[in-house]
Amino acid sequence: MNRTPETLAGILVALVLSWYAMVWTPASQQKDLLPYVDGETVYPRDRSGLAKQGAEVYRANGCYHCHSQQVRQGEVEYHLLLTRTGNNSEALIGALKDNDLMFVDSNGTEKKVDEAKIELSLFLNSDDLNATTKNPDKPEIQKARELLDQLKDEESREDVFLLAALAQEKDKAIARKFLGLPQTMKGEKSQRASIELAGSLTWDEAKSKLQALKNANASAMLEPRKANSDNVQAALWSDVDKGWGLRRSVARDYLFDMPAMLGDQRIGPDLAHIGERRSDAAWHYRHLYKPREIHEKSVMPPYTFLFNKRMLKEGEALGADAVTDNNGKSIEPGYEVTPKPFAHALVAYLLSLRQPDVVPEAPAPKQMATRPEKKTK
Amino acid sequence: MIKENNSAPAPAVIDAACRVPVLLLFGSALLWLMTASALGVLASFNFHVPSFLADFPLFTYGHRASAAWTAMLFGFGGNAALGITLWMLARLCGMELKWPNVAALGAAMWNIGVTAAVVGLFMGDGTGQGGVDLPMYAVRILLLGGGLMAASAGLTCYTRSDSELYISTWHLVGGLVVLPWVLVTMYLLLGVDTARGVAQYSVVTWATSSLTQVWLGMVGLASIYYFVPKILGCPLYSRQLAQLGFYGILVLGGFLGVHVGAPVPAWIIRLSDFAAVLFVLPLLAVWWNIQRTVTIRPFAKSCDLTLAFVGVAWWSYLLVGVFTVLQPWLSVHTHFTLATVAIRHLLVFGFFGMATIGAIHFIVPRLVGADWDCQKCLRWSFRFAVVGLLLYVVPMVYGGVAQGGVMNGGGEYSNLPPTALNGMRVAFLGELLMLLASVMVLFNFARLILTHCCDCCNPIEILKMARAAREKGGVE
Repeated sequence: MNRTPETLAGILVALVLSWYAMVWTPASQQKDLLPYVDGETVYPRDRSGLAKQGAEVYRANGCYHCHSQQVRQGEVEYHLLLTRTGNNSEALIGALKDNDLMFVDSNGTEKKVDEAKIELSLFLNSDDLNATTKNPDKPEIQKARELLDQLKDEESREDVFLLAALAQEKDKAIARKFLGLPQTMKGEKSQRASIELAGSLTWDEAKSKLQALKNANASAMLEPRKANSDNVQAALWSDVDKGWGLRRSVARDYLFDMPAMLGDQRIGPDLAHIGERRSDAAWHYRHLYKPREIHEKSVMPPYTFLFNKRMLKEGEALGADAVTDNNGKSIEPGYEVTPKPFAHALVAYLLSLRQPDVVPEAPAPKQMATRPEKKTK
Repeated sequence: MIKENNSAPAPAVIDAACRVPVLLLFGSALLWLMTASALGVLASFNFHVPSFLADFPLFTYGHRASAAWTAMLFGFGGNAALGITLWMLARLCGMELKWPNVAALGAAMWNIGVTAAVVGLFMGDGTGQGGVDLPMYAVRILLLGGGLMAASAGLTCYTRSDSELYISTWHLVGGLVVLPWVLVTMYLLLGVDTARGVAQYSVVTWATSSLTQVWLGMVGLASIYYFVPKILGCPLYSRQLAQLGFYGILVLGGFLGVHVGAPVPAWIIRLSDFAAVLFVLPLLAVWWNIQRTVTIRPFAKSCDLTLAFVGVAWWSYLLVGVFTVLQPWLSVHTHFTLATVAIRHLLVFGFFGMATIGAIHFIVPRLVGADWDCQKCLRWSFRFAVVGLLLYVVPMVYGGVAQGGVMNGGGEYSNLPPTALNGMRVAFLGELLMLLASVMVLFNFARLILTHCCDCCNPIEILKMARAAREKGGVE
């Protein structure tokens, strides 16, 4: 059988599939990805000149063979927090009821207080607020006062005020007076109050509940937390648990990396967030020159060729940029070891490796049991 | 055009026509195998003495590791794959190799390219892109060399006298299409107009996986499908199963290798996981096909050395395949660890390398016109290679799993844990044995060429052969 054309066509089609999915689509998707801008925050920014040179040193010496630059993260669950009640009392309470969030079965005392807060802040947003002075005997206002009696402490009342998020200065003054609060806010209390409506939600549940609240003209936010699952993904939390990063690494973190040296081996620890984890340049010089000064059993080769070594004269003091051991003495007794420009650049690069908690696609999970790195000598 | 011609040239004539390029490729392949193994040993030695060669900026651990992998994949893998492709296509098409001189030139170019890549890596020109970090100027030369050989092979296939397309033919043609495709993509998206951010990661993963799983996979399977029926003297069990395996690997191969938790858009990870699970189909097809063929006439009854090599290759392929299929579940624990290195080596050396050495064992005497001088030496090198492979892969996987356990545990991780380090130290013995095996095969090859080749060649070919021998380190 001569089926050359068919076979060749089959081969080409078969190859195009994976090429399209793994090469073409990611390349064109990433082309459109922009840094995240929020007011003053722009992330990521391109590296400084020195750090860029350092990336070249990192690449040229093959550091990427033993160090990865990517933090993994396991499953998160979402906690739904109400941050502003809006002005549509009926719709909000209906939405809360329909989504099994509140006003359904108020057994817990905690929940009752939260319900009171919600109802009160809805009240502050209603037209009845202006009536508090003119017509204090209105049944709605009587009810509001009863609710207010439940909130003994000033902090809860402050929460009510913040949840209402009134826009008009005049309304604010009336509301504060009604709540029995001083006209100016005391202390440094955060400008945002929140009531936890539900915890341990999956993304889909959280999304639909969030949408329902938004439709009721209220504002809510989702807070990601570490899920207590024991599936395959649970092991992925180890990176964040070790403090290697605040959150998982995402595509945006590598926008300006040329090349992006994500690494596929972890002979040593991950370096995605090393600039924050180890912000002391002297530590890096020490470690590069003599890794075993830091970790007794380190298998990292010493990068002595990145340093100059000079014998010290009798009684000569160490220079300011000399590499020292933990006790401030020269790392090579009798010698002065100073970093070459390559080492300066490499350390500048290492210090520039940071993945801060600013990108919206991967908010750092809260309530992390971050373990401080063990003290090394 | 395809001629319906029943008077195909005799095998001996076909062999004579492709002698120079194929011997050049095989010789270089064996030389690169030895180089790669030696570089690997030098790299691994760092885990005994971390400060080994630390004062030489040219020979950092990273440089040695990159050079060892590049020499293995492009030096050994490339030369051997192209050598097998040229010889086997000529045989299967019943056609003398077209433009053998062009192919020989291509082979020389390819080796210049690999040499440039390895030297460039030592000089710090690596691109930093994981599995395919060879410098881009070397990729250009590789493309040219590969293109010349592909032209020769393609033309041979196009003008063939035997219009039947055999199973091995598809695989070889598939390999010939994949290679330039990957090289061009690498050159354009990692060199000329570098993809942005993590797109580089997915390009690199695709390229690495396409080169190892698809390209080397195609040529290795072509050898298995060719030699098992040929030596056992019975037809392959099923053409349909082979077809399923063939297209399965072509379609799925490029998707493989993205690990769970990678910082790429989630759909890429899902897609890769999905492909890994589907990979069970081609794997089963390959397994069942060979399994049935061998049941008809068992492997064990034959004491043919080629078949022994091919048998080990088949087993390695199945092991790698099982590991591949389980990737979605395993990669959480094994990615970033020594286990991935071991499995990669099992694919490139255990599967492809063993299949290739089996093929060389079969092909070279036919090209030279004389049998191996020392079958015993080759039998020993087979044993060394198998024991070395076991001694390398088992401790590395064990150490890698232990490493993954510590990495995913709660405690501090600043270094390889002792279990992994000890596994690596045992694996070092395995590496030494594999190096020994490659030296023995190379030595036998050189001896065969030097003692037998001069009788049967015309003066021009003797000159060429002398050049080839010099490149292989001979003393002629």
